[in-house]
Amino acid sequence: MLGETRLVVNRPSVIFDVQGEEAVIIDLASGHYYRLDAAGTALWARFDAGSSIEDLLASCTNPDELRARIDGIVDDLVQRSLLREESGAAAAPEGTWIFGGFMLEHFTDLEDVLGLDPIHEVDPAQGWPHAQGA
Amino acid sequence: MIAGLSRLRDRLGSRVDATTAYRFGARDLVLHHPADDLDALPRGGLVTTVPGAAAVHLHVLSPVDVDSLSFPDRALMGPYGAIVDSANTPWLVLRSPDTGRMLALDTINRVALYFPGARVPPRDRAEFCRPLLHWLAILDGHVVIHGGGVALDGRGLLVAGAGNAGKSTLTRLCLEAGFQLLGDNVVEVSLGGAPVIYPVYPTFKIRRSLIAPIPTGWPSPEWDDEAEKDIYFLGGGPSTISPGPVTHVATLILDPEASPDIVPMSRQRAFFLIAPNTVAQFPFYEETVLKRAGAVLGNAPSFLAGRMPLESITERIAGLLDVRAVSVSDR
Repeated sequence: MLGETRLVVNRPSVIFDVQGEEAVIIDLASGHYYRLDAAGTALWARFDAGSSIEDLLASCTNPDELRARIDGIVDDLVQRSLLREESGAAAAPEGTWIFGGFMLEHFTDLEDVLGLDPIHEVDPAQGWPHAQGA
Repeated sequence: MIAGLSRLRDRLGSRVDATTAYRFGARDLVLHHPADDLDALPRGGLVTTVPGAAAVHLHVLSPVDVDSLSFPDRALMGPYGAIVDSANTPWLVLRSPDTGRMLALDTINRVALYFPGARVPPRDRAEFCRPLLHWLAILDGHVVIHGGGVALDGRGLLVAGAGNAGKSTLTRLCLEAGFQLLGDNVVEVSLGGAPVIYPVYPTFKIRRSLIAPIPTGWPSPEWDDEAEKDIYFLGGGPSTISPGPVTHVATLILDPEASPDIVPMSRQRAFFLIAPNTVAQFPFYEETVLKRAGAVLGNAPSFLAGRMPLESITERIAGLLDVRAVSVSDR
């Protein structure tokens, strides 16, 4: 679906770290955060390395299973603004990998303290700046 | 904005103000303030010290000082009023939308400017310039964790968990039993080498309940309406507050849904429970904080516990602080 386009982590608003085999992903724009299971983290690492869909399929040892799910996974991650499409040469990671599934848990309880406010403009009456709804 | 901050920094550097030095996590903080204004400053119970040469200097601004500054007409703001674009300059700048409070740090010269603005509520006074603590910790290779801590004989336990998980109850009982306080809400932790927990704020925020009594000798609290908590300013008494850094021996994460037994916990699960909340406390350097929160868990083994029987808590915590040889592998 995405041709030669590669997928990249939507930095700088999306940050993540991997501990053990699982990733915690935080979207600073929305204030939402996510936990990714071990199998999903293996796929996420490929995105972080700049893989295209074609790269993912070519290096996967069970491409049929990946092919059946990859569009849905990518659409979901792009819709959540965790990944974005980018043109240009992809730096495909070396080596093969096994697609073992993808489980993304979504959390919103820190939304108020993680999220960015929209751009504020000067209010002539109140001065600068005033948070949304303040 | 940036040029104005730099000019103000230079001007204040030559102004003769009174100074008072405090211990501020892993460093000393020299507060420059009008001579007659110290009691009006929201400095909480920071412990005074004799400053070392590497102390950070913080100038308390007057309204006239602030009027000399200009701010951009449009600005993307992060949590706590962080002016996001300032991260691309040598300065980090916060400006509270509602109170006019301003905090700016020159990250190169380690000079900060602070304007308290309107009345500072007890919960904020209890943790004086907490964003500044976060920034300095990052610049010094450390990280500030959203969690409390207690120490015994130089060995420190980092205690984290969701709100109402029992952190304060555990800490209060430990203090009654002779432990020392490292922190109630935030502590600074070093990474690599010999991992260390630094106490910062000798204050305590507690929901009113009778689960555990207030330790004898504590001062009267101040009530904070918004937090709905009593705030205790404990001062720097060495019998209550750890007089200095301690070795980070273990991390305990409290979860009311977990078993009351203290059990080893995988690093990845501990990371999930501790990291998002720590990042949420932090304007700027978020990705660095996320990664360092993970690194903190490599300092020492992590454990999980639910609501423990009150009568056994201090004995269990004392046992946990003697776990240097326990190895917890990631699953």
